[in-house]
Amino acid sequence: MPESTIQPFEIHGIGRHRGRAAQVGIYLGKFYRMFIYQNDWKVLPMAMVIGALVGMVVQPNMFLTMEGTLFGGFALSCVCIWNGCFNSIQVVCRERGIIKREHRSGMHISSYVAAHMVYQATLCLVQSILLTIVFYRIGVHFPEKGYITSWFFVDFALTVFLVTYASDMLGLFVSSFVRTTTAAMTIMPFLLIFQLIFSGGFFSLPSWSQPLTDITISRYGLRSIAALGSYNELPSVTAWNTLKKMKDTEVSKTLTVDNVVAVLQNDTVREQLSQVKTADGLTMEDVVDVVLATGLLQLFEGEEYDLRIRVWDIINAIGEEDVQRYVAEATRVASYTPAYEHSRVNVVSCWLMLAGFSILFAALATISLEFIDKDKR
Amino acid sequence: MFFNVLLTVVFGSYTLYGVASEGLFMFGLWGLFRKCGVAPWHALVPCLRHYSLGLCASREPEGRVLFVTQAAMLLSNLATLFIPPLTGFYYLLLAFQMVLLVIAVIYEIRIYLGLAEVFQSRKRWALVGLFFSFILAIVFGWSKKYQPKWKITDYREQAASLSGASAKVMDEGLTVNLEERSVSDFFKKKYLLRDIHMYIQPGSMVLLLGGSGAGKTTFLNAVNGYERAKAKVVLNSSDVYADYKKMQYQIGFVPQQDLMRGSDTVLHTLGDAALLRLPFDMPAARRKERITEVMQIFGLEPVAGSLVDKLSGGQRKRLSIAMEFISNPSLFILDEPDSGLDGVMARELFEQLRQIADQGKIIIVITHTPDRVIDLFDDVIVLAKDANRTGRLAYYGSIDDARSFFGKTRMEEIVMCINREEEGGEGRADEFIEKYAEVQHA
Repeated sequence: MPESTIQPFEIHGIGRHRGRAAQVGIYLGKFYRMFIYQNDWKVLPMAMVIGALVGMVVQPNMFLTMEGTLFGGFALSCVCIWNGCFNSIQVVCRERGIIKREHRSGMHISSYVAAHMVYQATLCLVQSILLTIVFYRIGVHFPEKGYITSWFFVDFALTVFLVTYASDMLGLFVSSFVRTTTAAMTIMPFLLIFQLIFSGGFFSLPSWSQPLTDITISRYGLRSIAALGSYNELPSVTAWNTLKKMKDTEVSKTLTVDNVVAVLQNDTVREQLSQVKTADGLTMEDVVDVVLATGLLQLFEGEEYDLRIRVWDIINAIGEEDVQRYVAEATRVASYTPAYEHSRVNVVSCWLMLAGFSILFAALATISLEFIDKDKR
Repeated sequence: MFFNVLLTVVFGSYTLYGVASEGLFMFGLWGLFRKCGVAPWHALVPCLRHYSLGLCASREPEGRVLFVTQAAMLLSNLATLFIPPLTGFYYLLLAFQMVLLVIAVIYEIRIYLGLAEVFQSRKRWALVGLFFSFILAIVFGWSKKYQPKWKITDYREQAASLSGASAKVMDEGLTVNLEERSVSDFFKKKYLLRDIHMYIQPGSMVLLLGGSGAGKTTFLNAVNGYERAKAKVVLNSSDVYADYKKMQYQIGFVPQQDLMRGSDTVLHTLGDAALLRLPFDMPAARRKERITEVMQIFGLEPVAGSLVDKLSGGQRKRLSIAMEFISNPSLFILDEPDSGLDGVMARELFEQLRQIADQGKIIIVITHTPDRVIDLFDDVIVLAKDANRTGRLAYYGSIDDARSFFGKTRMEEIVMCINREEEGGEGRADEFIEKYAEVQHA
């Protein structure tokens, strides 16, 4: 064996070893090589396929109606959370032994996590851009103008990125404290179910669960998508659609003349009748007064009449467009949600919360990995 | 309310059946603990009685889980007394209790199966224990027919006394003066290693021998400063613990498994190892030169561009060693470097290590098949578990002296003679620990 030409002073005597910032570069190189050689790239087409499937379902109504926007926002948040968690939930635990060895050789945990943060951010950004393109190509109606930036695409992609990245960092945190990939994949469904149920937008939750709702990524994702899509200004279509489904339903009622007289004598009805004028210049109230004064109706006192009418006939009698407009307006007002307020403050605060989650989870991952030396052999 | 709280704390329940069955269970445990060598009053302390039951059943880890589960159950039972029923939180607590109950049942089954084994009775007793724990406790605790195979006190036999020796610190070489390496194990101090003192000369290739659980890896981790012990470890006049940041690059540790990224090429793996282990101000050209040199030494040049995943077992092992060798360490520690290698490849690897040692380095190696390469070693360290299950030094010296010290010709026979009887050995560890202590004093 040849003698080693390296001198001890070259290694042990002169300078410092690589610090945290320099080590980030080393690990970034490793991760990008893993992306190419270890099939990590597969998460990109996978994100597009999932996006296309969800996009096809939400496309007809997203950003067009209240319900479509809420449903689309919820589905999109689910896609982002899935993508984010799936990107990172195995990346640390699958090489836990290697990390332990490298930590022993002078690797800084903070550099390792920082490298992951940069690498995963790139991955999430590319996924978000691809998802936005897929949604656009599938025909989801994107409003023309952006709200925070000048382009809605950018606002949308940024929201998708922040939700995906926060979920990615959550996955990284889970991956940093579990020992095996099997354990990580066992935890993942619980994480997803928690995020979906406690998103606070789709399911009615008891009041005691409010604090749980406040710590979900999905809540802020859904809020920012709904706010960007002007949820509160969109029409609500559920009530009108239900009415339309009931068009052939018959409404039946047995009436007596007494019932009719009582209605005609009602103050509110009289008030409304006074507004309607006949061709002769009389009001309907005058006509009713004349009829009541003749005592003609009293002749039929006690008689019962079956009244049968279809819902659609009532709508037609009033005017389809008027009813639709009225129902849409009434339900829109009733469905107004302050959390989805179309304001810069609302959107930016949601974005900041998502960014905060990302930093928090990355910090927790670092703290958790600092204890890696305590792993049992 | 106070009475209910008191009953819940003592018996875990305030219902008539709960109090009666737990009371009978405690009565049974009193006798059972006495038979097994555990203090009988443990039966009266909530949670502790379940841990002690685990001890009696030779299922201590399960006993710990049951201790924690019972404590959580107790707290949640107390909480239900104060939380208004039919509220969301109340239901959440009930769900939590259900989870605890499932865990408790699983671990109780394990403990009762262990108990049936210790009392040499049928496994169906575990079923009785699960549904009527008090019956099992009373029968095993008070019936003369059922006696345990062993008592807890059997494990507290007298171990070999401490040597009181210490190794002299030299300017060159490795000096280890390890007083103790202990861990806190469920409120108890547990010694993993004690009383190990030695001096290893530069240029020595040393075999580290010991049975399973003797503390070989713990010892190596204590020597390289990764898991600190109450010790003073001096390598070439530098204190490994005090100057750990500097010394960690002078000590190379090759783990048993080949912990490398399969998606990297050999060149990338060594390149990154060099970036991590060599100083920041070393010129890039010099660093590349060193990588090439190490690849030459370990015969990795032909596979420089290959992915680690595509390497053979021997090549992977050599790469793993090369990663540590890149910084030219003075002390080189290898944990079973021949695992997974055939006899010829293992021999080649050890010959390479011999050549590294001949360059003035200290090489310490753990291997489970030492006899096929024993001619390459200078010295042997023998670690053995004493009566208290603590790793102790049973011998350190030359290979030939070791043969006459133990009266055996092969290293594997030495391991057999120090292993405990229940492990199939001769159980003579304490005898040799005492004998070696006398040699040190002489």
